[in-house]
Amino acid sequence: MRYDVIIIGGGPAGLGVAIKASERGKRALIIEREKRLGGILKQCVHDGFGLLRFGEKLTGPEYAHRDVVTALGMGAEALTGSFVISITKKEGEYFVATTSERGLRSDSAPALVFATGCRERTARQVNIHGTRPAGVLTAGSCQHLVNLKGLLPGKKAVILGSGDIGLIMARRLTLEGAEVAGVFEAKGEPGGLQRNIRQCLDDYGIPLRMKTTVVEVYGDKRVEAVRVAPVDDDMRPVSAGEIIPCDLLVVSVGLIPENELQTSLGLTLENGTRGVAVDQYMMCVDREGVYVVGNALHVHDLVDFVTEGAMTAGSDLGSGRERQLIKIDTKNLSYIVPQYFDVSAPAQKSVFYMRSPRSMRRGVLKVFADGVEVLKKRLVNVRPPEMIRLECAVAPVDSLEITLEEESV
Amino acid sequence: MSVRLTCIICPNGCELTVTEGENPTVEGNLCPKGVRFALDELTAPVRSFTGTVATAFKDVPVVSVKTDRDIPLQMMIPVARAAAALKLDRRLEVGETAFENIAGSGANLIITGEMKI
Repeated sequence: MRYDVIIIGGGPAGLGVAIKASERGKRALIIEREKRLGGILKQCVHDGFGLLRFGEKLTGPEYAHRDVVTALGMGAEALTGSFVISITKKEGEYFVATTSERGLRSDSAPALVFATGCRERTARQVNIHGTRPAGVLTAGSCQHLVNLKGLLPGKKAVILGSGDIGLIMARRLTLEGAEVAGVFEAKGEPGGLQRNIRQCLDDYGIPLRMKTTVVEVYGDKRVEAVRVAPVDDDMRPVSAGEIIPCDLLVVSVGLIPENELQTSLGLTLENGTRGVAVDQYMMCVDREGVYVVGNALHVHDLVDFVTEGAMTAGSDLGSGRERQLIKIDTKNLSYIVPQYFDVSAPAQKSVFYMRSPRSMRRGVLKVFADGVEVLKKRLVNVRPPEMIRLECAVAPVDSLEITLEEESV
Repeated sequence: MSVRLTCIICPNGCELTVTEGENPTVEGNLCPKGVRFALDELTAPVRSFTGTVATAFKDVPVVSVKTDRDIPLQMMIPVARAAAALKLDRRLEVGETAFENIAGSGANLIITGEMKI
C-alpha cells in the first residue's frame, strides 16, 4: 500500500508523529514489532508521565493508551507483530518490506520516520569481571519481568548505576517484597533525577553509594554475591571493597539510541547523541524525507519532550522544503538537537534540546543569530541528567550559536 | 532549624529549603505546589501507589494499577502487599476501578494498562 508516511516504531515517538500527520490529513502507517502499540511505556507502570503535556500525572501505560486511542481514532494504521526486513529508495519513494505471521508485505511512502527507541547498555559493556550466572539483568529486562510477566527475578538485589530506571526498579522490587541491598554509582554524581532518588530510595531507606562500582560477580548457576569497591576518577578500584550476598544484579548503566536500521541506510551518527544529525524539524541532514524522533534520536528523560519532537516531525513531513542548512555552533554543551538549522524555513518558534556537560548552580543560556544576541535565559540547578529545553523564535541567515555559561552565585 | 528537600511533584524537582517553626517558610519552589509538598512532607508525607495485580488471563498475566488518590507514605508497603494478594478475573478498561479501599487506605485501585490484546 502507498502512504504519506511510514513510521517505524509504535512507541510514544511513533504515535506522536502519527497523530500530527493524521491531524493534517496525511495517511500514516505505523510498523511495530511487538503485538501491542505503546513501546516501552507499557512496562513503565510508575507515574509522572504527561505532567507537561496534559497537566496530569499519568502512568506510562495510561500515556501510551491515550496516544494509541487518538492515533487510531484519527485514522492512522498500524501493523503490529511486524518486523522490517529491508528499506529501499526509488525515485523519491521509500519502500519498506516487513515480515509477520501474516507473511511478507511491502509498503511505500515519500516520508520515512525512525522511531525505534533505544537499547540498554549491558553488564558486559561495563566490563564486570567474574562468572556469568543467571540473575544479572538490565534494569529494563527486570522491569519487563516484574511489570509485564508478573515474575520476581530475585529476593535480594544489588543495583549498579543510578540511572532513573535503576532507581524506579529499586522501589518496584522493594514494593514487590524483594530486598534491595543498595544502589552503587561509579561516577561522582547520580545518573538519575533527584526526585527519583528521594521517592525511590530515601523513602525506603535504600542506600546510594557514589564512586563505588561492582567489580566482580560470584556464583555458579545463580548469582550468589557481588563485590563492590570504591573507585577513583578514572573508575579504577582503590581498594578490595566488600562482598555483598545477593541473587540479583540489576544493571542500569545508560541507554544508547537504537540505530541499526539508520546505519544500514548509510546515515552517519553524531558523537554527542549517538543518533543521527537533524534539522529543526527532525529531518535527517543527509537524507531528504527521513525523520528520526524520540530516543532513537537522543535519549530523553521526559516522554513529554519525545512527543513534542515527534509532533514537530509530523507537522513538517510532506512540506517539500528546499533546505538550506547551517550547523548550529555551541559552547559548553555536551550536545544539542537539532544539530543543524534550515534557514530557508519560515521564521517561527523552534525548540532546542541540550545537555550540560557538568552541574551548575546557576547558568545562562544565550542564543546568537548572525552574531547578535536574540535570547538570554537564566537556569538554576543545571545537571547533566536533566535535559534543557529552549524555545526560541529565531531566523538566522548565516550563523546560529547557542552557549551555556556558569554564573557565579 | 531548616530542612532541605527535593520536590517530587513535577520534573522541575525544585530543591526546597524549609525553615521550621510556628510559621514554617519554604524557599526554592518555582510554584505553590512546592509549599504544599514541603509542609506535607514534614508532617504527613503522601505518595501515589503504582504497581501491578495478577490476572486470571494467560495473555495478560499482570495488569498495571494505581491508587486513585495519594496515600500516606507509610501505607505504601501495606498497599503493595494487599495488591500482591489480589487476582483479577474480569477484563476491565483503562480507568475502571478494580478494587475499592485497598488495605483500608481509603484509596481505590484503578486499572492503568490495557487488558485486551
